[in-house]
Amino acid sequence: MVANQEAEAGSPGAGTTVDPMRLASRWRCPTEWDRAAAELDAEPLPSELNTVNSSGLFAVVSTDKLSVRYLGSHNHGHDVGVVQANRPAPTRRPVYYFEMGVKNAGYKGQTSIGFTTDSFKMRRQPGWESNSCGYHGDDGHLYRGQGKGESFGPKFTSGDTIGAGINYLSQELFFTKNGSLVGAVPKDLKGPLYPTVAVHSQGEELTVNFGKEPFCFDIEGYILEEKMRQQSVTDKVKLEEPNISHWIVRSYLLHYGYQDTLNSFDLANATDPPASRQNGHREPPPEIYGLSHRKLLRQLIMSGDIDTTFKRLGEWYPQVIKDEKSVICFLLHSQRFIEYIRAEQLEDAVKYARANLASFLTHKAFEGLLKESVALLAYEKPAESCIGYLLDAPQREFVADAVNAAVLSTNPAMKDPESCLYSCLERLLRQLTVCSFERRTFNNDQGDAFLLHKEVRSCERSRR
Amino acid sequence: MFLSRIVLRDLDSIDSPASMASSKKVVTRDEWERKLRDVKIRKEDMNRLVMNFLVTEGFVDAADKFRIESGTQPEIDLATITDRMEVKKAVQSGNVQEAIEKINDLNPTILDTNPQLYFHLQQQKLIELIRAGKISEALEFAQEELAPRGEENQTFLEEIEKTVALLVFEDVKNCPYGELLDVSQRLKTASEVNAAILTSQSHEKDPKLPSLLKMLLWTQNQLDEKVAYPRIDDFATAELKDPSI
Repeated sequence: MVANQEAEAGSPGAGTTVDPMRLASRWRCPTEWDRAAAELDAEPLPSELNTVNSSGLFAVVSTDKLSVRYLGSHNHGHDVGVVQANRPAPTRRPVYYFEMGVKNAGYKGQTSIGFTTDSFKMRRQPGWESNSCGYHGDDGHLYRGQGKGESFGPKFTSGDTIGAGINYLSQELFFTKNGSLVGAVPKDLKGPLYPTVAVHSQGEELTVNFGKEPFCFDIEGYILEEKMRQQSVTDKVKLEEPNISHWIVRSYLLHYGYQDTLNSFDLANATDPPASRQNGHREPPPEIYGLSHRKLLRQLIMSGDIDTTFKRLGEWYPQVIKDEKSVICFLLHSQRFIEYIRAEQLEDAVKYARANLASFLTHKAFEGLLKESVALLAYEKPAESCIGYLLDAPQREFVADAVNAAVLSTNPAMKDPESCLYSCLERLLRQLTVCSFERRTFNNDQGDAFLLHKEVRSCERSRR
Repeated sequence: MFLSRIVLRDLDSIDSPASMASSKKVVTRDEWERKLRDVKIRKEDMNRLVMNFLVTEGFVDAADKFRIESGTQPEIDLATITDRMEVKKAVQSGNVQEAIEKINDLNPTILDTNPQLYFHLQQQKLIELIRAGKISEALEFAQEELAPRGEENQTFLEEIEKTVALLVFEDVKNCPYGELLDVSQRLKTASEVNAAILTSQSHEKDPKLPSLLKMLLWTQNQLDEKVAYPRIDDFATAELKDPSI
């Protein structure tokens, strides 16, 4: 029996029944969440100037690799002291930006800033060669691979701070001078783009800032504005049913058995002006099944009363806990154990663990949670330990959600087993996440992709 | 293993218009469902999204119940929702003076810093006087309170002219600006008030959820141009539709 179930659970997406292992796979400790979020968009960043690939003949890069000085004699157009960053600009973000400070404009003031590719001729100004772009100090012109530049912005000289950026949302390159936007042009360069600066006459000297120091230009504000512009584009899309959000919120409350909230929500919808709020003419969602039972079970688990939870489940939905080796039983037992720890009944905890938890140790999928739970015993003050999160409300909620899904799966009218695991809202958010990442992949990995956690946090940040 | 991505094959061929005409890449349902399963979504983030909706839309009782049932802390003091909803209700039922007083109780700077909102409330007040048939009161109010504002601002002046025109028509159904007397005008003013109060509380004036749904629709449409994949067309069921090949 046990082996059989394991085999079933092992194959992802197996069959028509709810795969209980997937409930356990939702469990994750906070540090793991944070690592996951960081990994998703992690990219190596340009951090210093490249001293290997630069035109050593004509320029010298300082030992901290953050400034460059002209060494050549400026006899022609092929002795430019041009330097790229050590890495190309990262792409999985809305905007990339860096700055340079003109320390000394030298004899002719022919410093420049821009972007070039791997194959750039390292003795030319950025913008002089095809597939490169540069903003030049001596004439204020922008060079985009054509023979001559186009008038673009002011000239720049000693003491000025010049910035160059890639806006992945609008697909533009933009430049700044002393903190003000100079202008933007369509980004028609292909391939990984290297931040590039150049010097081309005696005495010229530049420093670069890849973000280690605060920028002169308000890049945060610029990104915020760009994102708002992007949002105003998507906000123009018309939803077929303008009030669909009400429906989705309602089905979320139903799904998780938040019955009191649901009742208040329905009451408010019933008494308010009807024109503004309507759920449309829809069938009630299938999640109404076992609503008040599910609400009570959730309350019991959230209050830490696992013994009664077992009892009620035995009365109402015996099939959920029939298999003693099931995920649900494991989660409830481990939660019972955690509750003993919370109540500081350590001896009871040990006794309980021996009787009910030890047998689960052979299960690979339970290992993480089990090990961490048992480790609580090792701490004098477990709540303050690195696994103290097990004693927090979200851990109870995790167990409550699993029980909720298990109860939903006993509904004989249930058509789609997925619907026990995921609310409508969650399925939409998963779809949005995948679509957004796929779209970015097709877009040469450019731009930021949707992550709910980032989105929810950003609306909290903007409030401060 | 995170959101397994499609391996970037020949990017140039995706970009070039020639390949656009040829058949699109297809992501099968199985493949897509695997990607969907790999997405990591935190329950507490979904709870926060729902709380944000309840708070912004003014479901104060539901927000309070949700706080208890889910343990999610609301983004703002729930008492301020009650105040906000009372102001909104006052405008919706035509008690503009009451609404103005309540707004000032809540935060006197709201009307000071929103001349347009203040004007719209005054305009609504005039509309309500006309609706109630209080002609002389309406005239006095228009002359004393509204006319000076029209001198400051051309748009306001035009609005005043339209509103005062209501007085001239015995049967307002014939008046070209009769829609000012419509319930929708009250709702418009009420939602403007609602947004201003939320902004004054440094809260976004729209809930997050509807704009995420729009983002989903938009992103699906964008992705459609590149690849055939299972879409979700009916947001109420969130069912995947097999990719059309």
